[in-house]
Order: sequence, then C-alpha cells, then structure tokens
Amino acid sequence: MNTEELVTRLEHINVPRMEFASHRQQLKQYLAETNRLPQQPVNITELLRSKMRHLTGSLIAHQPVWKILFISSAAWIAIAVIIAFVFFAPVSNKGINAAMAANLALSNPQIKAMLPADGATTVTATDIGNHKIAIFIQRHSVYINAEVDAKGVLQIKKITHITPLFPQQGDSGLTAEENEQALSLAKADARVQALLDGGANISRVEVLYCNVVTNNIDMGKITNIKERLVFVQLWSEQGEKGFLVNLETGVIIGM
Amino acid sequence: MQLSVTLKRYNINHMEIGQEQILVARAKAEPQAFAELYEEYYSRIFGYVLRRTANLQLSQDITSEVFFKALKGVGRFNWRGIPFSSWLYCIAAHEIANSYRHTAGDNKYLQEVRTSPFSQEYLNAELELRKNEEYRTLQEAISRLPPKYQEVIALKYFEDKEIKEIAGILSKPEGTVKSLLHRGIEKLRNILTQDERQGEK
Repeated sequence: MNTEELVTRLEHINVPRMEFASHRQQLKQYLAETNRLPQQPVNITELLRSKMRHLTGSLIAHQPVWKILFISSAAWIAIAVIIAFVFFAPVSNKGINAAMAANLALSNPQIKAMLPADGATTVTATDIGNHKIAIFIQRHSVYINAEVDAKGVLQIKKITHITPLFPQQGDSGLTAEENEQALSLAKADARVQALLDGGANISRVEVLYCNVVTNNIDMGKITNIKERLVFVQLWSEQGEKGFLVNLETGVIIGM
Repeated sequence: MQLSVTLKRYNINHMEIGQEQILVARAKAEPQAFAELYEEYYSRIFGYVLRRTANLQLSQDITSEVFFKALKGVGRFNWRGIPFSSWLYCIAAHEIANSYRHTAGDNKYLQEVRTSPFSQEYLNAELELRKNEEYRTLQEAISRLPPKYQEVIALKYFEDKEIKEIAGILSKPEGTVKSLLHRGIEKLRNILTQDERQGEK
C-alpha cells in the first residue's frame, strides 16, 4: 500500500456515529445537580429503577450471606496470579503469551470500568488456538469473558453479573441428594480442596437464589434469569470463604 | 433575535461563533446557559472520543470528564481566536492521552452516569461498533502510533477538521500540524504494511 492509497482509504472511511441517549441525559442531570443547570423532565422509569437499585443495595447489605459472599482476601489475589502466571505463562501465541494477555485485559479501561472498584480478582488465561487467548476475569459479582488475538487486540465476549437474592418463601431447601451432589462438586474444585487441605471445615450448605444478568455480545443477546444455586461456606482460622455451586452445570464460583 | 436572523440567512447547522460567544459569556455568569452549550456539543465530543478510542465505556467516562471540567473552567475560558468547541476538543484530547494513567473507579460520578453494560442500548452500540471492520482495523493501527500522531490523524480524517482548526485545537502552528500529519501517515502505512505481511505469513 502506498501513501496515496492510505490517504484515500482514510478519506473514505465510514466512522461510527452513535451516542448513548441515557448517558447524555444522566450526565446533563449530574451537571445540573452539581451546578444548578436547568433540569430536564425526569424519566420516571429511570428514576424508579435507580431508587430500586439503592433500596435493593441497602437491604442486601444487611444480609450476612451477602457479606460473607463478598469477603475477599489477599490470598485469592495471590492464587489468581499464580494460576495465571505459573500455568499459562509458558504458552506462546505468535508474539503474545497468556500472562501478557491477562495483563492486557486487566489494564483495559473498558474492563476496569466494568469491575467493582476493589477486591480480589481471579484471572485465568487459556490458549484456545487460532492465535487467540481466552481470558476470564472475576471480581466480586462481575464475570467477564474476553479474547485477545496475536496483535494484542482485546474483544469482550460476555459480561455477567450475579446478585444473590433473598431466600425464597416455601423453598424446602436441599434434598439429601442435592446436598451430597453439591458437596462432591465443591470438594472436586481445586480451590476448595486447597482450603480443606489447609484445615478448613465446611460450615454451611444452603440454597441461594441468584439473579444472573448476562450480556452476551457475541450472540447479541441479554438474558436475565433467576438461578437456584447452592452456597457452600468453609470456615478456618484464617476466616470464612464462600462458593456457589450450580448443580445443573457443575460450575463452581468462588466469592 | 438578531442571532436567529443570521442563522436563517446563512442556513448554518452548527452554532456560529457569535452565538457561541454570547452563550459562553452567559455561561460564565449563570451556569444555566452551559446547558445549551452542552446540548450543542455533546454529540460531537462523545463521537470524537469514541472514534479515537473505539471503547464505549471509556468514551462515556472521558466525555463526562470533559464536560465536568468545561463546566468548572468556563469562567476561565478566554477567546484567543479559537472557538469554544475547539477548547472542548482540546480538553478531550488531553483526557484521552491521560485515560490510561487513571481508572474511572477514582471518579464516583463517572460510574453514576454510565450506561449499564447490561442494557440493550449498550449491547446495540457494541454490535454497531463491531460491524465496521474497516474502521476498526484502521483505528487499531492508529492506536499504536504515539498520541501526537493519533490526534492529528483522527481530527483530520475521522472529524473532517481543516488544518487551521486542528492547529487551534492542539495549540500548534499549522506547519507543525502538516508535518505531524505527514509523518503520522507514513508511520501508519508502515504499521499496516507490517500487519499485512504478518497476515500473509
């Protein structure tokens, strides 16, 4: 390609032209509140949604399970870093390796903005072939799946938010089979196994309903479902640690 | 009244310098007038940041920061031959350059006004952004250039700005802008050629 060809390409490029109506409105409202700009008529739906968010947040804050779920420790950061670097770092991918991809994802402003401000972060990077590395990031209730290509270009594939709900009225709890299945799935998880080996005991196994919202960008679909999960709590002298077990998929989520 | 006559006669879509000057003068005295400037320039600033970063979350945060700073600093804004819009572009260019140094988590208000990544609006925007393969390829290559080249190329080709206007926004002589543009295009061509060769291998 010569310079003239590139200039022609740039001159005829079709650039994205879009904006977020909600951001425009909310920023205007924020500026108005901070500096008394003229107020626009408030969108009632948005206002109610915002109030509900605050209400739900404050109610949840009084639930001990919620608190337990979000207790995090520096040890998990260390484990996450060890997993990312020791197991995946040697994998090379045409100029970018798994450790580089993990760092790239963690420093990506879009990912940073989506993750809660602080807390333990779990990062795994897996070479999935075709010069691509799959990244999974978890911090508190936010889960992000992304891919990094050989040039270091990151693409977010899926964003998931899991919110524990109050115990459902009339739920009979776990059957003996479910209890056994949850324990066996949890014990098969390396993180749980490490805690048990370190002297921790399973102190609680109970049903926990969660609201799972997923923005699957790859499929162009947002889903919002209520899931019945099992909360397994481990206790040791170092503190308490919680895991969510999905009995249907067998997936264990460390909190 | 005189202003609306002027606008009709020339059939100008964007705000004229005279009108802008009146609004800026009013905004200095009463913050309410800033709302009109905000309505006029929000789309252009958000669009500029988005086209520079190709990042929806970051574009919202930077746009918020630009208008927040503009609102706080409008009292200190002085007419030095460049329009108010160029001043906004200038703040945006600085914010883009600084964006990788700080996280949005530092600014609570940015989080409050963001569009949720779980909203249909966000998903639609993300899909729309990914559809434009040609732009993404070029933007990705441009993002690997030093910021001084990124700025001039984006302002010239993504925002259709004249050299004189770019010089005003970046506070650089026109000759310097022309030279940055020339060198930037050459560097961009090298990156794209290198990428093509790697792709062929």
